[in-house]
Amino acid sequence: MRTGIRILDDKIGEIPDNVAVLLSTSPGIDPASFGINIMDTALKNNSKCVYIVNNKPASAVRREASTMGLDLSRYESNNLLYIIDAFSGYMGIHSDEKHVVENPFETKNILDEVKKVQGDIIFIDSASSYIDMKEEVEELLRMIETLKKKMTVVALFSAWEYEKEIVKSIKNNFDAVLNIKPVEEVTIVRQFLFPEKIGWKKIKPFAVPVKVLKPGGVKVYFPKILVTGPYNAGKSSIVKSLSNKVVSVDRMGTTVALDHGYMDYKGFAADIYGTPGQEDFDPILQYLADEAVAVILVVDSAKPETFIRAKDMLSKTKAYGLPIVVAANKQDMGNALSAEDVKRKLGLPGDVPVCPTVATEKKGVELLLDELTERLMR
Amino acid sequence: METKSEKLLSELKKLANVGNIEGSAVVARNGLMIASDLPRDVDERRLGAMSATMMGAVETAAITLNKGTIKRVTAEIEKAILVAMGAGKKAILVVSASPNANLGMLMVEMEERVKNIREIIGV
Ligand SMILES: Nc1nc2c(ncn2[C@@H]2O[C@H](COP(=O)(O)OP(=O)(O)O)[C@@H](O)[C@H]2O)c(=O)[nH]1
Ligand SMILES: [Mg+2]
Repeated sequence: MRTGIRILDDKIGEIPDNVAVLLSTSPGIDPASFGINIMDTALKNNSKCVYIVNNKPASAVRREASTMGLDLSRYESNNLLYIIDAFSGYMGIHSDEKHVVENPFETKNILDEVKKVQGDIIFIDSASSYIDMKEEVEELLRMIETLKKKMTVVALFSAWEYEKEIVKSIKNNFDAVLNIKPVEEVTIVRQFLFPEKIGWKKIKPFAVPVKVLKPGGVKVYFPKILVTGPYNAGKSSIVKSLSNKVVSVDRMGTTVALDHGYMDYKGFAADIYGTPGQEDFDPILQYLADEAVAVILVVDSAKPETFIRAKDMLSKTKAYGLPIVVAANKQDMGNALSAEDVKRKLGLPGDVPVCPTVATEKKGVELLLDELTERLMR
Repeated sequence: METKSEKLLSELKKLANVGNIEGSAVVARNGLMIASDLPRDVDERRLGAMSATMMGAVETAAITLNKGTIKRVTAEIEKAILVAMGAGKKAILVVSASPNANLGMLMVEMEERVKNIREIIGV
């Protein structure tokens, strides 16, 4: 199986059968969103899933899925997904669910209910609630050992302040441990996924920026990608061609504030900020460019006289040091320079890719995005 | 321990209790959303980007006028009043209220919150 989270999947490869994966999140981050999203990916790949929930009503799981834009009901009605309610029994309340563990205090009851439905992958939401209920961890670990013989286990874990020894023994018992933690940046707080342990593959440490989009689900997410370049080069057109949903503050045919779009491409999501090009607007460039994680420079390939301005804008937006890709735009113009000539004339560092584009026809935009995401993955 | 985002959110929640305020957000001056308490149908990332640009543009206009620094930007919209107020070097507080809101009261409330927000953010 795969998680459906780009970069992570690329680096850890296929998750083997009959392993146990711990998905641990810092307080304030709900592991269920991640669990549900991974499950949705598995279901789309024809795996049969079991989702056992002990810390909220089963309906809350469906609701969370639906706010992420995922529809679980068709899998449930086709018996490809079973949601087992181990919450009502724990709370001593009535349940209308089809699959219920009346007394979840007994691990055997849980295992019996799972046996009735069977599946390729089981999600436990959550291991931490189970530990809290049992007031010890051994029982959980034994349950996971048992489940692992039959299927792949994904256990969700809210990393509250458990004793170090407890956390250590839990992690030792899992084949893989994925941590999701908040990271405070200049102004905003981003979430990153850090693989702590991958039992089936040797990996170098890496971090994946993630966000739960509602709707959209879990995406590798970049909060700001800047699109800049001289007046009339085609910046707004590039932002439009990259985005699924876009607005431009254009007046009299040119951008006077910014273009703002949402990109969703091969598992990557980003907010795109397009700047004005005229020098009169340079004072607001600094606001728009601040905290960008990558820059797309757009130039009109038929107007090499604007390239000095293009490079000036890279300095003004403090782009040097960030991943940069160049769109050598308006390739359809008779007098357009080739991408190679644009590259030579611009005189940017050799590793900056220059991609030929016709923004108005969405031509070359995929290649541009591939170059960009490739650089964001490094 | 409460995180920075939780602290900011609880400041915004205090605004939600003030009559006529329909939503609020702490936005970085660069447009990124820091914390928000907005109606569900509002595209908060876009509102953040646009509010910051609005603030940045008016700030630049103020500098161009040579008339000192900017206190706040108020936009009177058909069905809302949108107010943006600086909250330290890095952030702004954005509030959307109904058109019949008492502007004076609104400003007093916002200034109170801005004091705390600055402290939470630290600059
Ligand atoms: N022929 C051609 N025209 C383009 C292309 N990209 C943009 N344009 C046109 O160039 C003009 C300026 O585009 P715009 O995206 O607003 O540029 P901006 O000022 O950089 O935002 C518009 O008339 C576009 O239709 C392109 O690839 N080929
Ligand atoms: Mg434009």
